[in-house]
Amino acid sequence: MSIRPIQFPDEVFARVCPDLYFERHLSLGLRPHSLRKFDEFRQIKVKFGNTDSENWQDYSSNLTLGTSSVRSDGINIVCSVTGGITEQEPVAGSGIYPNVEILRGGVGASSANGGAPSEEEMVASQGICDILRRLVNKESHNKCQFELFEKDLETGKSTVIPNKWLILNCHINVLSRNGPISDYAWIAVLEALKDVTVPEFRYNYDTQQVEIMSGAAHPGQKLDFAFLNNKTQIPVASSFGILNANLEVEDSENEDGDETEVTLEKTQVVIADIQGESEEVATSTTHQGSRVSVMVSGDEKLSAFSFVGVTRDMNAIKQCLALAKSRAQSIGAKVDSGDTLWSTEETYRG
Amino acid sequence: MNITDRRRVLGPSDAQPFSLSNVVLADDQNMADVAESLSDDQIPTKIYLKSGVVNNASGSAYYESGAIKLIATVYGPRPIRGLFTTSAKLSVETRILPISVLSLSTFSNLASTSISTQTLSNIVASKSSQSSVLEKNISSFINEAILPSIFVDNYPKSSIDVSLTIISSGKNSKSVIAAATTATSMALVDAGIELKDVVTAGSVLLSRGNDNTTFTMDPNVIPQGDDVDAVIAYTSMIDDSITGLWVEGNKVDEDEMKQLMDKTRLMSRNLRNIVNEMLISEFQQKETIARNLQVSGSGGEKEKKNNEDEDDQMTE
Repeated sequence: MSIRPIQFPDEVFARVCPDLYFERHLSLGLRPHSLRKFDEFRQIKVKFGNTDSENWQDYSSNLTLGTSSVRSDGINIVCSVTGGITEQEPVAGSGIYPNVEILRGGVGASSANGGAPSEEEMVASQGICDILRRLVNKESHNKCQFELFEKDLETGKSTVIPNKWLILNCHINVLSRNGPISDYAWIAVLEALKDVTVPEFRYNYDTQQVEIMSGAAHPGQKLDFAFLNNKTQIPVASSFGILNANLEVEDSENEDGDETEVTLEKTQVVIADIQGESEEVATSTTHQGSRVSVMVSGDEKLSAFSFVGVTRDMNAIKQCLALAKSRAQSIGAKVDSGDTLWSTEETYRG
Repeated sequence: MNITDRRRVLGPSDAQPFSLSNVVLADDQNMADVAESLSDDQIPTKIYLKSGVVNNASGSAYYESGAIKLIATVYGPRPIRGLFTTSAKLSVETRILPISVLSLSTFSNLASTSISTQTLSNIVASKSSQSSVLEKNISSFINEAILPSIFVDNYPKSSIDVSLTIISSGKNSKSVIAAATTATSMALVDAGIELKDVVTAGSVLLSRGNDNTTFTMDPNVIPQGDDVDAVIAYTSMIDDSITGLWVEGNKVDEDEMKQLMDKTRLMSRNLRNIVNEMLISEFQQKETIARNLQVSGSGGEKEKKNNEDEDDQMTE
């Protein structure tokens, strides 16, 4: 009887045994879905401003206050900010309501069409909301951003419309997902908020409605949150996966000298910016991996940290923190501003 | 009982989203649009098509033409749980993102002109989590138009889910639907689903201003008054048969109807030419990749054979 090894094509092996597939790659010093180093992040392309430039010159621009689009390898997010009016005074930094939606198909399955949001969507939305609230709440000046101003054209004086406040709804639509999206959703929200122009308002005493002024005489003004303007204060989100891997190590210092022996060595490997199915599965808690997400600003102030999983070794977490810090300082160099929808990659057909 | 949705980050309960009824227009802002006239062979003007843009889907296509930007993604064929079906079930869902102007501009016409109930009911589109009537109508049109082109009998007990995201739209819903039909077909091809033909669609606007009727293909304006706009889908490769037809407006006579069909057929053929060119170039790319893989893979096969020989020797 002969025993023959079973052979799988690459993609089948990756699906059947994602952790082993990943470990084999790691032993060679490679990542399965990209050419990045273990501690390297994906390059991000950001565009803010009107996605629909041709049509936005006119009246409708007053309804979508700001947009942004974020693209990275396999990830595409469009974020738009719309406004609303409430009579409840914002407390403790509330006023911005972000909601993440990941496009994933199936009628009623996606939250976009009334279904329940997935766990990832809920966690990302709530996470972004919490951080924004803390940032807004930090400075009393930020609260004025939610007040509605009425401008007298003759005197040029601005007065506050009493008992009415502005709310900002951030719609974060993830069109393409490749690995966890929360870091990218955060960037999308920040960029969209930077783009927001709050229109001028007028209170109509007859209808008791707040009216939005349009036209060149009423340009509105940019949102003036302190944290948006100060580059070093903006928290940068970085996520990592920690893997307890059995890496193959070639033991060349053998007694015989000519034969190299392959031994398995248990090590913890930190992978930055998880991408692709096998990386995602192998670093999940069901495969004894763990996930770390860190939000740290350029001036090294930690604003959020989460660790999910098990570890006996603190070194991996320390490494994550160090990487996140250095990334926060250099993020300016990594974010490309430019066109991000696919069409800019190639020329038009037709 | 007041049930709040705790799964989403919702604003205060009394919050009212901005709508165009709140917007005070400045005197110099002109709301009326004039349809651009282009010669027939220039339609559709400029198109960007790319398939395989979405990572977490079986197939996808991105379509951009002027103000229209949309993504069609296909998930499946995937198994249906429970009931037994002899053929695949196609389901389409459409989502118009709040940045899209479509909902807003149709809304603005409410006060000024009489428009169809179809577009009227799109007011809610910006934005509750429920899909608007326009979204539902687009979904059902695409479903009807695409279904005849799929070999559904080859996929028993499975469902093919199409998800359309309209990132940005022009001002005419029919042009968006024509684009969406084409993009959906492209996404189906990308997903490797067996098709009889690639469905493409054309859109046209019949405007009746100043006693002379004009036809505009691929319009980017809102129909006013007695205007008629239509989108008709064709399987232009096999027999040029109509798979979907949506004409909206009133008082269309026989001659006008014929014109509408001719114009849309022309546009869908032009589109089909672009799609063909695009498919061929993509297949060529895939072929080259496959060939390169084969070349590098043949070495592996040799190795395997050697191993087998060794195995045989061992058994001897």
